[in-house]
Amino acid sequence: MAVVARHPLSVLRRFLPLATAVVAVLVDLMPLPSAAPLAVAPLTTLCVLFFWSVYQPKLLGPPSIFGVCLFLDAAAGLPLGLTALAALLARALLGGRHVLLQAYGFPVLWGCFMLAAAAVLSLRWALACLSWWHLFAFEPILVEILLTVAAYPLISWLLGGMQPWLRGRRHASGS
Amino acid sequence: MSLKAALSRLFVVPAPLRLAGERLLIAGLVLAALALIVVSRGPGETLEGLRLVVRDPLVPVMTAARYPMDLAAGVGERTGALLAVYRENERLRAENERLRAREAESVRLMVENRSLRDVLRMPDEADAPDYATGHLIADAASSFVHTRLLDAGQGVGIEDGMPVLSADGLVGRVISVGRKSSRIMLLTDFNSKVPVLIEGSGDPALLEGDNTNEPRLRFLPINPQFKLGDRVVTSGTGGFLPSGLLVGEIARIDDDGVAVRPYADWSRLDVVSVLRYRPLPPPEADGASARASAPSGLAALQASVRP
Repeated sequence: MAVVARHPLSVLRRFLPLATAVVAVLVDLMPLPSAAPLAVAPLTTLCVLFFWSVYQPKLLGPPSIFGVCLFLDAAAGLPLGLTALAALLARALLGGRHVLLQAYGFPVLWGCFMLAAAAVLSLRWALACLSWWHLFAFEPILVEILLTVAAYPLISWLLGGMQPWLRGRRHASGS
Repeated sequence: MSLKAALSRLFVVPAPLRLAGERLLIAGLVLAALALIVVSRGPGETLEGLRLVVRDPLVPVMTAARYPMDLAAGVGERTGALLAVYRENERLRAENERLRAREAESVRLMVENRSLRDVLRMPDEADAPDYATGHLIADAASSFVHTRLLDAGQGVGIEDGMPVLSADGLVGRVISVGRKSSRIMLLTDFNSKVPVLIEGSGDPALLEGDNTNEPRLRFLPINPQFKLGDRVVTSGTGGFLPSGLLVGEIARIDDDGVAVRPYADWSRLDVVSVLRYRPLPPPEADGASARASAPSGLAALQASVRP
């Protein structure tokens, strides 16, 4: 009976990383208050995807990353696949190094995120330039990279609060 | 050893093999993403249906998600307004005086316009403009495109190409319509092109967005007569947009060209109106109907003012 009662909670836990990524997409889509069209905001989706790729890569695999980024592109009116392609390449670069990254302290992880954010957003810019055949200004991208890197500690702290709950799932299932 | 444990040992995938499998999966998804980029930027609206599948259900979610933000902004705005109520009252009194004078002037001009129309035997002006109103609920989440999502679509009669206005002036136009949502391209987007006219000098031009906050004027006449601060309005050339919609004012003239500061107040861009304006029919049909219905005097007048 206890197993049956715990089941829906365990499903919820399994989908928690995906749910947080969807919430991050909604946050990214929110119109900024008192902002001109040129205003740039951090890409919180990228912070969430990186965090779970390091701490729970099995719960947020490449198909989930693809789906989340496709949702972002479709809702934002961008060419479909633009963000997905950049994010998947970053995930491929991360590969099996997540265990190693977990062992290091937060400053190293933050440094790695800085590199990942720079790579993903620059690649997205290059793909957008090719897609529209138009040279977009790089300054807003630079600001976006800085804002995204600056937002990572807060998002990491928020998601880190959910980690014990997710670890509880592992202990309960015995894996 | 239990059967479950034995099976799980049997099907355990070694780490290097799992990594290779993930890389293969990523390679497949990267190829799929590349194919999607090519198809979605290609001709036609192949993937527009997929966008709408995502966009329309997003409307209630984004409306609900905006609620706390609107609440916080409302509290801040009210507090600010309370603090500045005396100064605001003085400003409104002065503005009221100015508007009274303008009202008297506009009544005089209306009477004069009507009598001139009678003299020229011009037909009555079209019906009062018809608007659909909605909230801007989502951003483009990138600096590449300056678009916004509106929570109103075909359900309230919005169609592709219709102009979008705020209380201050033209904001942009509709580029994609769903049942409950529309995507709006702002004047500042690098794909935005609006035929305009500079008031006072009468110089025609094309207002092109360049992804900055101040779009540029292109295709100006050789000797333009305008000056800084002149108002820019839509010219109606091509019939895609009605003429006379307020756009902005000449903000800068430099080596890169002429920059226009849109009147739309981006910081208060929340509720906008879509002008339910249908583009004029093609010139052939227009010419034929004009010949058939308009009096000869009016046809001659129209022919004389055409460029």
